[in-house]
Formats: sequence, structure tokens, C-alpha cells
Amino acid sequence: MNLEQYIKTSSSTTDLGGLHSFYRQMIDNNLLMIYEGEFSQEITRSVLNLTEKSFEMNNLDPGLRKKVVNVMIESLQNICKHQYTVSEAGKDGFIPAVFMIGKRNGNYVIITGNMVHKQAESILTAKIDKINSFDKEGLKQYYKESRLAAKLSDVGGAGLGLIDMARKSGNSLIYRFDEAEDQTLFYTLLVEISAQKDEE
Amino acid sequence: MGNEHLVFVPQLHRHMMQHRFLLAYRGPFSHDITMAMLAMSENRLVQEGAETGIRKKIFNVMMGCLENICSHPDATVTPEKQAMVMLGRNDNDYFIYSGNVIQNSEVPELENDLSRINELNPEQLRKLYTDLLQSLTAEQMIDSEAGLIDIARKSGHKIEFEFSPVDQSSTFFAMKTTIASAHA
Amino acid sequence: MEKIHIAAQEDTPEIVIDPAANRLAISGRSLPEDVALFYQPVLEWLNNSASGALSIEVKLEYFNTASSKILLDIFMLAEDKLPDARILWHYDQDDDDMKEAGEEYQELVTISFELVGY
Repeated sequence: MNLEQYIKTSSSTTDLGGLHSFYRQMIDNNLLMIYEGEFSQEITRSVLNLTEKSFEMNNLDPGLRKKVVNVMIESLQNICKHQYTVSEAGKDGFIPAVFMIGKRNGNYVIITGNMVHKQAESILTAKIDKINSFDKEGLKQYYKESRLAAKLSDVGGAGLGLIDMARKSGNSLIYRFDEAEDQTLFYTLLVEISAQKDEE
Repeated sequence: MGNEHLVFVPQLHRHMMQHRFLLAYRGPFSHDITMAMLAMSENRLVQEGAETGIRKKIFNVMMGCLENICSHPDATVTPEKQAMVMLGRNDNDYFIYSGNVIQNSEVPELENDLSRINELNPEQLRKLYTDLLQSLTAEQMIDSEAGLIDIARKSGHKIEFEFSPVDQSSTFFAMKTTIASAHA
Repeated sequence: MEKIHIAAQEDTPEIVIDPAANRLAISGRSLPEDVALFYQPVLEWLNNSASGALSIEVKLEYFNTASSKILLDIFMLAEDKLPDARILWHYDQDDDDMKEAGEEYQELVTISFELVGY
């Protein structure tokens, strides 16, 4: 897969009108930050730093801030780990992932979008649906079991990160797959972090 | 596919790829946010492999844009009025976009300043900047057109700008600065 | 007179005032939130305590427009009080803008002003 195929246009015009419509889209979808590109340790750190400063200015409750940051760290690490796995052509055919922070129903949401192999769809779907089927206690139990299992199998495959995000957010994980090219899908994951405190 | 309401994510992703937007931030602006934005852009540009001189130009222009946004503190009241900053590129140039809401009454002077700056050659811009440097105090510099002149000088291109009405009293001011991605 | 040392921050430069060596050095990034407040000790020292052939060494990576004015204030104050002072403007050779900024100050100041590329 290559970039031109994916974006299906070469008439890239970065006009000011494009800016305003982009800004509109950010407002309409209540997005605060979008980062698209390679995800490195430095980038992760500066994304976290910028968001924390923004939360401070909005006087976000420290407990909630911590939760949002924890979910962010988990999602960013997830992208860091998997960003190159799809492209067989190496970095040249690499389609960067996207990371967004926004608000929904008054809650903060963390959205990630990245390319995955077609065969990952069923695996991820099963994994997330299973996570979403548990209540709080069940999820805690499932996390423990998965953590034990993770020592035997590969850590990435255990989906510990996903379970952790579901636990910290207090909400179901929302996902979507879109046809991108050939054997590739665009995988969107949204985690909404509830403002109300849980009694742990 | 499911979850129709998430369809904006792949759409925005494509939009960003088409326009090669690298990062966008919308929200409150402050000195701390300015510093964090600058650090993030710098990291992004190092990753891009931008030349040192170019990276410094971009840093400077971005700093000017952020300081300009911070000097309009009324812009954070409602989500519709939040300012934004964005970094993008194409094969030859980097672009810094900034957009913020200003009072309608500020439009004529700003439009006049920008039009005037765009008509001046590098030598005239230099003269204008050093004149301000000699006649204004540091505090006055912040509120003057010195920031815009500095942006124009570092960019070496015309500043593109646009005013779009938001409501009866305010206007969205969008600005695009171009910086060549390699030395001429 | 004691040596003054202000450590660099993310947005403010390192300042070294070394009366024994008769040297004032400003280096790093200068984009403080309150420029006047940050540079107050430097201006005060120049006004009250500096003397003789002071060497002013500036080696900045970035500075904002407000800082550009304070730098001129510092140079002009030195010019007024210390005709034997000299300014060394260090710039990264990859950074044309920083070199140009040095050249502009050179034109505005009458005391010795040297540009040093690194």
C-alpha cells in the first residue's frame, strides 16, 4: 500500500480555506488536539506535557486528570509499539497513526487511529467485545488472569493495554474499522473517561 | 464497520494526510502552553529531519504566532472562540497556521498592518523593525505589529490571511506563514 | 561585588554576571513571560555596579520580540555608562536570522560589537 492510494488524491492544496474547514471539523467533533505522524518517546512526552498544561488551565480535577493521562499513556504506547507492523515496505510505505484528544458528553475522550492488517479485525473485535462484556469486578478479574497469561505468551497479544484502558476509563471501548487499501484497515479506537469518581 | 459516529476519525486522518498537517492544537493558550507547543513542534521537526536553520525559523515563527494568540486573551470563552495552531508541509515548504477570534473593532488595524507588511521588501521590513525597536518599550513591542514584522522577516514570504465573521462582535482571524523547507 | 548566576530555564536564558572577570553573559533561550521582570537584575547591575571594560557576551538560540527590545536596552545602557565595554554576539552559523539580528544591533550601537559564528 502507498500513500497516494490511501489518500486517493494528489491535488494537495493547503489553502487558508482548508484551514478554516479543518478548524470547523475540530469544533464540530469537539477535538482539542490532533497529532499525526511517527510516535517516538520524545513526541509522547511532549504530547503529554501539552495536554497536562491544557488540563491545568481548565482546572481539571487532579484525580480525573490522572485518569485521562493514564489512558493517554497507554494509547500512545500502544501506537508506539504497533506503528510499523503493518507496512511490509518498511518506513517508506508507512502510513502514520493519528492521536486525538476531545470531549464528548462533557467527558474527555482519547481517540487513536492506525492501520492494521485485515486479519487483525476479528482478533481485535473479539478482544474488545469480551472486555466490554464484563462489569467492573469481572474486568478486574479478567485483568489478573490476562496478566498471568501474558507471562507465558507475548505481552502485546494479551491486550493488557486495552483492558487497562477500559478499567481506568470506566466505560466500554468504542471501535470501528474502515477499508483503507488491499489488506489493510484503518482501526479507530475511542476511550471515554468518565468524570465521576469511582469508589476504589 | 459499526459506530457511525466515529467515521470522522478516518475522514480527518485522510484530510490531514492530504494536506500534510502534522499537528493541530485547539484550546486554551498561555505561556506554559506556548512552551509545550514549541517543544512539541521542535520534536516533530527533528523527527522530520528538518535542517537546523529551517527548524529555528519555524520555531521563531511559531513563537510569534503563539504570542500573538496569547495577546488576545478573550478568545477562550466558548469552544467556538478557541484559538488553534497547526503545523503542515508540502514538498517544498512548511506552513504554520494560526487562527483566533478577535473583536470586530480590531480587524481594520490588523488588516492594514498585514497588507502594509506584505508590500514591503526585506530591507524596508528591517528598517521598520529597527525603528520600532528603538522607539517602543518591551511591553509596547508585545502589543505592536513588531511580532508580525518579525514573522514576515523570518518567513521571507507574504503572510496569507483571512477574516471570517463569527458573530455580531467577533471575527475569526486565520493566518498562514510559509517557510521554505530548504535553503534557496 | 559578588558573582550573580541565574540558571537557564525552558523559557529564560542563563545569566552570569562575574565582576571579577568583568563579564556579563546571556545564553540560551529568551522568551520569558515577563521580560522586564526577568532582566531587572541585569539592568540594575549595569546601572549601579558595572564599570570599566565590561565584556557582554550574548549567545542565544531563540529570543522573542520583547527580548529583542531588552537586549537593545542592555546594549544602550552599556554604551551610556561604559564606553570601553564590548559586546560579543555569538550565533549558530546555520542560523542566518541570528546573524542578521546581530548585524542590526551592530548598526545601532556605537561601542565595540563583534559577531562570532560558532
